[in-house]
Amino acid sequence: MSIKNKQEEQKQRGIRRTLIKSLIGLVFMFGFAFALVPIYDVLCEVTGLNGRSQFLTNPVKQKNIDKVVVDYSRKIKLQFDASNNKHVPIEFEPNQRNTLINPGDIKTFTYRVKNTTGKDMVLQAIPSTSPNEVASYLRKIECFCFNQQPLAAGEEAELSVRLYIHSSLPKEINAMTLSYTLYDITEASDFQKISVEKNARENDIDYIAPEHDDDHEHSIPGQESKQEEHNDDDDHHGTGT
Amino acid sequence: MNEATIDIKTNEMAHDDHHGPAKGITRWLYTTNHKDIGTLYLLFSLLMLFVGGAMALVIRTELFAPGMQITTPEFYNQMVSMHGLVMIFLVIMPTFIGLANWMIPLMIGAPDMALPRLNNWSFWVLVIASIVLMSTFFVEGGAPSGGWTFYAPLSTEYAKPSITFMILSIHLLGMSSIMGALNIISTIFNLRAPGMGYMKMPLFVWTWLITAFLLLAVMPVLAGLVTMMLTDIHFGTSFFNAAGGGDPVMFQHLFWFFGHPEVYIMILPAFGIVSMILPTFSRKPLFGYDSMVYATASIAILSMIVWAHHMFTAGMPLAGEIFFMATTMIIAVPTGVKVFNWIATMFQGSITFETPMLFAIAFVALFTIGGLSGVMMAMASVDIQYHDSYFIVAHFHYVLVPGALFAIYAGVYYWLPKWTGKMYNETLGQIHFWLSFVSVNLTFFPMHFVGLAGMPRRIPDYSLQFSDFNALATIGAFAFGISQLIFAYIVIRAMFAGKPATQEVWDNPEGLEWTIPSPAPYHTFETPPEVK
Amino acid sequence: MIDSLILFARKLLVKLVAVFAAFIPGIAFAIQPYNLPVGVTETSKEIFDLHMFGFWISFAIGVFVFAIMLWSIIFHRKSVRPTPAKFSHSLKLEILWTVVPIIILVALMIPATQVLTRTHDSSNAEIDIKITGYQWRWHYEYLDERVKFFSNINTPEEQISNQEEKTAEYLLEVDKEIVIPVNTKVRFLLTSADVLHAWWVPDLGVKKDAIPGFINEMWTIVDEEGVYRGQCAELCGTRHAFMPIVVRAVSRPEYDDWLAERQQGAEEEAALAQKADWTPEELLERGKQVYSINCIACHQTSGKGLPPAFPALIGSSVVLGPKAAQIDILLNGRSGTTMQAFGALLSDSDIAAVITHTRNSWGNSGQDQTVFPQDVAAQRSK
Repeated sequence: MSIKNKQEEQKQRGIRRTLIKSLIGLVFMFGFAFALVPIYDVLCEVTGLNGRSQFLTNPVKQKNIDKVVVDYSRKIKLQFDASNNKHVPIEFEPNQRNTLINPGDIKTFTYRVKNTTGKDMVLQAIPSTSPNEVASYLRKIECFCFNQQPLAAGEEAELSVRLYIHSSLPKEINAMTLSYTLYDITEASDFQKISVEKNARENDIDYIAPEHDDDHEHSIPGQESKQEEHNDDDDHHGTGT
Repeated sequence: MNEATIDIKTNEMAHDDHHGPAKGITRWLYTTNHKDIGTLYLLFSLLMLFVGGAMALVIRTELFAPGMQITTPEFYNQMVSMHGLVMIFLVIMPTFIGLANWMIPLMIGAPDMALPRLNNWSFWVLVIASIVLMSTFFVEGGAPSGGWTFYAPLSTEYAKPSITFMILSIHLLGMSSIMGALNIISTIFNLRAPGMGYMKMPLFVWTWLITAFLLLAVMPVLAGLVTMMLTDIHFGTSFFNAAGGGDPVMFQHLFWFFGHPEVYIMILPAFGIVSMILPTFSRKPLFGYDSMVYATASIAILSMIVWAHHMFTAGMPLAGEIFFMATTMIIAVPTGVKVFNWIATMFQGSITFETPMLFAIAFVALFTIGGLSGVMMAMASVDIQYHDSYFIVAHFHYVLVPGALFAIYAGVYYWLPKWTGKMYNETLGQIHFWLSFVSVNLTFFPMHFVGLAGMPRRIPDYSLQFSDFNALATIGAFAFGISQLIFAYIVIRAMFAGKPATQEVWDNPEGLEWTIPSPAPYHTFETPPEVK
Repeated sequence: MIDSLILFARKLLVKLVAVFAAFIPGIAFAIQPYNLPVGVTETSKEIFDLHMFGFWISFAIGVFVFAIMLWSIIFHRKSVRPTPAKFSHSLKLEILWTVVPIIILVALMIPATQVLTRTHDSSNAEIDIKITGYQWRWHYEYLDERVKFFSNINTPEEQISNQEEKTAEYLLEVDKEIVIPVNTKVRFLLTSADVLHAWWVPDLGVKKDAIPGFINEMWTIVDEEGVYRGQCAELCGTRHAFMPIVVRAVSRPEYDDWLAERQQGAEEEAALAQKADWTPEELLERGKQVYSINCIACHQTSGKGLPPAFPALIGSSVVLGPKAAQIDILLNGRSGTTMQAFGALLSDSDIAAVITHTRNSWGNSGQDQTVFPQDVAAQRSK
């Protein structure tokens, strides 16, 4: 028909094209918001943001443990700390406040917990370090924070963490704090099941613990599969400063 | 002409009626006309300005003297949070979208917005969202009280029932803003009159185009964030709860990834308005048009990488703090360019001082104060003292009240005769300006002092040494609040009475909007104008 | 035109600097009480200097911008100057006002980074104090000294509700202040038991967020003895404004004495917790102390509470009813409200004492007037 009509049609096509492109951008940004969650974890890992590192919540591989060399030239003051979230009615404290430790020296430390209530509880300890940057230099072989901990009414227990400090720790750092915050997760968990698992783990019978594997479990939904092989000690980037 | 009209009518996106507005309430309910929708947006946000303002006065009354006066601490927190949410999402943002609706088609010579039906939805979704937000006052436990930033875990793990309603409302507000942004982008990209190249577009159009892209980039992030809050509250996820492997600090990172660009969403269109008004009343072309465009674009891009300067006390590695300090400082450079361009526009002009010009000049001056205190707080080591004090409150109110709001006033006075066809009362306009100018400074300037002296923000009661300046700020706030009634009167009166406005309204202003009669006819530029 | 603008700007700048230099001491003196405190630590002093440096730069830029604006407003108005100039761009000028701000910003950036680097170095601290934020009070724990205590606001509710005259330290006073020695590097570890809080003492130049599940750290070396006050700086709920901080900096010997006293106090407390044979009178007396430390922030000295958030204890059906229900609330808290679980915080004797106190005060008189530690112990193991 007229030229005008053609122009109009062209305009409409242009509008549609702009709209489609913008919508694609929009969907991308919405996805990006959720992608920021794992990106944030990686950022924490690399920069030590907020004292988070998956080295704090996952065990190192045996082959890396075999290669650990002790650095006798310096000692690091390692301080232990314990907090209760929301007044969890549990007595929770480290059995040793401070220790001097050589980087590479593998040692076991313990915390004492006591359930002062008449109820069975399931607890989860969340680790954190200070200064924040040191998080990725602490290596754990075993830790009570890897698992949910059952604690029967009135029960008193000793929880242990076996760890060493990686020798790539920057020279200017001579003290660090390892802190655990205890959360009561009884409602979200199953005391019986957790107890059975714990017994099996301790007696080593027929127990395959997926969370002790190299594929780390992270409890943030939607990112389980995103974890990379991060345990390779030798490849450590050492960007803590 | 006749033929073209019929052809357009067959098109699915065409107007409902080509001969004039429908009558009665349905005109407003179903309208797809950009001028009607613009009017709806503007009147809606004018109403909300008084709602949010009333909340501000409750806050200021409580803070008039030490001791609890009229509120409980809990209700005070609700006022603080809702004041922020209302002013940001229901006043400043909708006003700018309203101005964009009215002016962008007129400025680029388009017959209407590109997506008229979407335009209608975006307004009514906004209305629904605001009803949902206001309804939180009647939910058990009252309205949200964790601040407009609704940080985790106070607003997730410790959330009260109304937070869920707030999340719904924010989803709707986000949808509304996104629809508005989509519309503006489509319009500017496709409906410019022949000859209107990108570097010929008026600055208001440019700043809105960039703002629309910012909206598209960050509103989905806000939507994602509140969705995570929702699943944390109701579906047992732990995005922000350390017990489940989450992190409350991540909330702040995500929030400010949205929040800082949001700050610029609220100021870039204001830059555009002022850049239109200063040349008109200085009778001199805008200084440095090209650098204005580039500066706006660089501000928008930089705004995406400065977010963590809101979190200097949250605990960040040294390298991170230095990075965010540096990017924040860099953003001052393009902002400075803008301010210098504005004063160079005025320099050696032939200036007259009608109300729009007065507000525009006040904008440049007072925004500069807000910008300079912003540079001071970019220094991370000093921000340790400023953070979460009244110094911050003073800073962002300087940027948003004599900043964004004054630019809006300037724009409304500037274009009002074009909208209504009648001149507003200039004497009352001048009175409105001077009262607002004095009282806004009386309100917000003392906040710098109490902040530096150590008064934290978001507290309903304070120790004795802060008394004098708080009393002063309260007096200023009431004066400012009452002065705005004059504005409402001026605007409503100009809708019905006043000296008829000429086509050009002002002394030889530039732009296509001045080539059509006043009031602007219901349909304009059905045949695109030729731009040389 | 452009050259005249540059020339004009240069002249203006010279004049401004001259005027300015004459005024600085006067202005600085006049605004001091309403300025950032200089403070008593090296950090706070450095921050103050940086703040003033940033302020004067901002002030100069502001005066420069306003002067040109004012000049244009006065001399370039239509009545004075009917024909406007025509210029609309100048590369020279635009480069100038891009480059000059960059130089100024670098000048701000360098000292700011130096101070920042220093504040991040918390190594070689002599004393470690862990600060835990609670809704709505602070808990301090001297990590190596086995001293720990809560610090509550102790401004009477009557002052807040304007029934009594406010005293000088209104809202900035606590029952137990935190004591640190001067000239000693003290490291603070921060965390929170519930929501975000922030620990801010302006005179020390420190502020940091307390985040549940994570620890943050900062440090200070106080130069002068004195009492320094601060507040929570992060919105943490209803009583955010009512959790002040008071730091007393003392000489080293005084600090050691204080610490010894505290440790002895802790032992006495422990002994009290073990004590089995309580008389009702002893419980009442002890209960009053426990109440004033743990309960008054919400339930008030008057027992009237602050309804609806914090219910009154006067005539409360729980307080007047059977003891089991009240013991349960104290041990385990009340979910969905801000009533905390005190099971891990208080000994059986303290819980018994405070319950006894509430059941015999403010005219309350109902069932089970006296609750003994044995009752609490029995309920714990249920």
